[in-house]
Amino acid sequence: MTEPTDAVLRAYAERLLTGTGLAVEQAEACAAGTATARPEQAGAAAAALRDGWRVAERANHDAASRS
Amino acid sequence: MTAEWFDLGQRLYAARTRSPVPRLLHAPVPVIGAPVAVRARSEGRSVVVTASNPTTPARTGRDDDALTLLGEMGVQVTADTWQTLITDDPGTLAALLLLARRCPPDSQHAAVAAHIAWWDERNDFPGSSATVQLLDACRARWVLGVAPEAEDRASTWRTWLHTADDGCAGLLAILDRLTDAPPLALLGSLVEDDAWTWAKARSEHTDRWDWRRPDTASRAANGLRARCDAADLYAGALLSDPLYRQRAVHSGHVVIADVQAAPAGRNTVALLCERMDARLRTGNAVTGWVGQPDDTAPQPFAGTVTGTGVHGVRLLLTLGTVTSNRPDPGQQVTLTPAAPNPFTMRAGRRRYARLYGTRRSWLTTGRTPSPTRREVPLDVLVAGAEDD
Repeated sequence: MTEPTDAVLRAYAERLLTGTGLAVEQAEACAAGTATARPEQAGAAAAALRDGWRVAERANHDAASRS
Repeated sequence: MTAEWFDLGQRLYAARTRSPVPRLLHAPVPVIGAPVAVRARSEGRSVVVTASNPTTPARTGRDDDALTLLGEMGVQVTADTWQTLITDDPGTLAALLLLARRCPPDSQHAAVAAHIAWWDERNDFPGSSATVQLLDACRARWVLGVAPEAEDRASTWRTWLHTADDGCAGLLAILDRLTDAPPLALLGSLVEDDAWTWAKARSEHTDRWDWRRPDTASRAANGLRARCDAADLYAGALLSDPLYRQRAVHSGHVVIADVQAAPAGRNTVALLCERMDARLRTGNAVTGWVGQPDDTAPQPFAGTVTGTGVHGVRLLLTLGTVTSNRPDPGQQVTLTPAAPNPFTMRAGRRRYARLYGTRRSWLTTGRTPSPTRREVPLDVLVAGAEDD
C-alpha cells in the first residue's frame, strides 16, 4: 500500500502528470513497478518515474550498506 | 526531456521511505578547512550578524560589533588562509556586503570588509570553497519527498536531515552531512582558483586597492570569462558522478547508444541512440565507454561528434577521431560531453588577460575580431541580466 503523500507534493505531482493520463496513485505504482496497467500515452512518463524510483532505491540501499 | 518525471519518481520514493534520496555519490562542495556559519539580516539601518565556527559558540553583533566578531573568528583578508562562509539564508551575503560597503577603506575593520567582498565575488563560482550556500548544496546532494518549493526552506532540510539545532551550529552539522563523501572530481581546481584569487585579494589590500571601485572593462571581462569557466567546470564535475549521470540521461546530457555494424571510416563510429533528445551537437568532444551511465570507465574512448541524423525513429550520431578502446559493433556505450580541462581554461584566461593588457591587441584597439561562438551557461546570462 502507498503511504499518504504530502498534499503539496501531491498537487505538484498532479501538475507534472497533466496530459499523461496518470493519477498520482498510478504514477507511484508505475514508479514502484507494481502497476499492472497504465494509459497508453503515459509510456515516457512511466518509464522515467520507474527509473527515478529504481535509482533512488539502489542509491539508498548502497548508502545503507556503506554506513 | 523526462528529467522532471525522473525527479518525481525519486520524490515519491523519498516520501514513501521518509528519507532523503542521494542525487550524488560525491560531495558537491570541496573539503572545507575553516568554516564560519553566518546568518545576517538588515534591521532598518543596522545589520545584525550571528556567527559561529567549530570552536566558537554562536555570537551576535550589530554593525561595527558584527565586524569585530567576524574579525575575531578569522574573517580578515590579512590572514594566511580564508574562512568559508556557510549560510542557509540567501539574504545573508547581501546584508554582509551592505555592512562591508559602509566600512571606510581606512577603518580598523577594512580587512574584514575586504574578506566579505572576496566572499561576494567568489560566491558567483559554483563549487568554490569560499562560500557554501547550504540550500543550493543540499539540493545538489539530495532530493526530498516534498514539492521542490519546500526545498527552498532551511527548516525542511533540518527536518529531513534530523538536525535539531536551528542556529549556526546546525549549519555546521548540515555541512558535515554534506561533506561526508569525497568531493566531486574537478572541484580541486576550483579551490586552486580560490587560493589564487585569495592571494590577489590579500596583495590588493596591502596595496590599498579599494574593492568598492567599479571594475575596469578588462577586470569585468576577465571576471565574466572566469565565471563561465567555473560554470563549465562544475557542470563537468557533476557529470563525473555516476549517480548524477543516471539522471542526466533524462535531460539529454548523457547518451546511451548502440554501436552500428558498418562504421564509415577507420576512426569513425556510428551510434544509434536510445533517445532522440541528446544534447550532443556536431563538433562536441565526447568521452564514452562500453557499459551503463553508472559504470566507472576503466577503458574510456574519446572522440568528436562529426554528424547527426535520424535513422528510422532513432537518432544517429557519428563520432570521428575516436581514440583507443574503440567499441565494437553491437556493444552498448554511454557518451558524455568531454570533461573540461582546467589547465586549458587557465591558459585561455591568461591569454585573454594578456590581450586586454596589450595596447595593440584587437581587444584594445577596437579592430573587428574574427567571430568565434561559444555557449554561455544560463546561470551566467541570468546573473548578467539582473539589475544589481
